Amino acid sequence: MMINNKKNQRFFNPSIFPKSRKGQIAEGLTWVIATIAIIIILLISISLTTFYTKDREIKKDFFTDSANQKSVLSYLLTKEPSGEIVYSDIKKEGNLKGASGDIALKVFNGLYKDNYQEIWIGVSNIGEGAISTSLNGIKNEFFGTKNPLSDPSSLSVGYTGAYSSIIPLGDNKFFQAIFVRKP
Amino acid sequence: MKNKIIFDKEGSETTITIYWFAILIIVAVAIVYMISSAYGKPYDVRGIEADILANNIADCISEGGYLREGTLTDSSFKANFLKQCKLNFKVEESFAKGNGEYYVEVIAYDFDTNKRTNSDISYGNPALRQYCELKGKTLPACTQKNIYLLDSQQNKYGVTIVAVVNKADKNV
Repeated sequence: MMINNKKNQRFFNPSIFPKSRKGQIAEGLTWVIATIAIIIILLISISLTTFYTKDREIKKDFFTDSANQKSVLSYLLTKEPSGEIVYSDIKKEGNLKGASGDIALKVFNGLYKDNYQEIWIGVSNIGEGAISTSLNGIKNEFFGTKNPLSDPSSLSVGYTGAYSSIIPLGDNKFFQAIFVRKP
Repeated sequence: MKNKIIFDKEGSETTITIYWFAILIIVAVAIVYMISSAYGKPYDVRGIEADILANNIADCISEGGYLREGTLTDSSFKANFLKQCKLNFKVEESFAKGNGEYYVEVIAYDFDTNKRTNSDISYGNPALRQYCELKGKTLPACTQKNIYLLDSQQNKYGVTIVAVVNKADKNV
């Protein structure tokens, strides 16, 4: 009879516990706290869902600037007054100098200055960064010093909201164009 | 006395059953609300669509840093623009409205003198162009890209590509 009784009892049936007055209070309190906990968890989940799904516009970060690559290629293929193309000049000089810098200012500042917060065009060396190898920008007289925090190609920096175009020049040097978006 | 105990037992069981049903219903309603708020409305992808459209046109008119031959400087390119650039402006019938849901404009100018060449191209619904200056969730998405290009004779061009996508019914 005893065995049958136990078998038929439900898991949450309070009669399976011996009840003193203190026990009843403790048990009642557990129920109240459990209910509050469930409601709090649900409210947090609902507010998180509402927050993350509020703006249903997909950001266009990955597509926006890829057309800039075309300008970069055309810039590097442009003939300077000396008859040499910009790419060869930069490769030879190891940096933007003279006509290559003037053309870069005209092309990139002329076309993109209003659309971007920061534009840096120049030559970078491969070097040791804080965590891994990174491209260390060489200062030039046209675009100044590269801000290492705006370089999306640096693994140690991570996502920066910027677009970078990199063209190898040889001898561990790279031509680099960085376009930092406005916030 | 015995009857009272049985009555109390049954009462507490009923209370707990009702409580669990109430909790179950609250949790179910919350889950349904969260799912419907996450998936109930469409994502607005018009901005990306306009960007992809402009990028495709940029790919169509340039190749390896040079202006592709037979494009902006060729009069037959303008007539067959959609076919040449492999673009399709058709939309599902249920979303098709008026004169079309897309508009593209390609303006080329001499980069040194800023003088426009006679190779401007516009296609689609021109009424959408006016919304590029305005901002609003239900207004068409507009994107503008500027690129610098050379032709094989080292002539320098600035090209402005404007792409507008309406499709508000489908995305908003």
